[in-house]
Amino acid sequence: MGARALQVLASLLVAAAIVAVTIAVVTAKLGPNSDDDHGGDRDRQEDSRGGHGRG
Amino acid sequence: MEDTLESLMRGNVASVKTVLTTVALALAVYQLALIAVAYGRVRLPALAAPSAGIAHRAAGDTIAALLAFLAVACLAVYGFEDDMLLHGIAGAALVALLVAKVAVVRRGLGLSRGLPLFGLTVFALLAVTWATSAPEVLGGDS
Repeated sequence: MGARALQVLASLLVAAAIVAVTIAVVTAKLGPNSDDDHGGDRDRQEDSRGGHGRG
Repeated sequence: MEDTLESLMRGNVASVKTVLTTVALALAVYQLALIAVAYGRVRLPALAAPSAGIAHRAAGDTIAALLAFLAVACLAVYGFEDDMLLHGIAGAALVALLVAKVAVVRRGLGLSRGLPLFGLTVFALLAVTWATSAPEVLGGDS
């Protein structure tokens, strides 16, 4: 494998690492059932008002 | 379409959208670094300019596919809403400019010298699109 191919591969591995870290950080920030709390799925949120929202 | 997407994301449309948009934004920051190396603005001993250019193109294709999916999901599930006007305008402009940038990259169209401006504008629009939606979802109870 040539030097250029290795550099490209390494650059793409860095990109993959950025994706993995971002997903981990954002998912941790969102937490479980986050849409119930933050209103992402609006229909479901409306249905669940008074139920398992923020309480 | 809406039901399919809701089912695919198990009802967590906003969360999935936020995660994927944040991934796109993080990759876009990396794209700026790669293109700075490719244009010779930044010199790294471990990464030659042509290699950075190839990686920039590959990561850019990934981001474009990601943004296309997000645009379809956003429109299908939420559509244009008055209280998210800036988000909708920024997102629509982002998709339009991204299509134009890809056309310029692939066909030239006499606008190749404007690619840095295209790229920076695409990045800015992505940042605005993210900033007008994601913090609300990520903000949580704080």
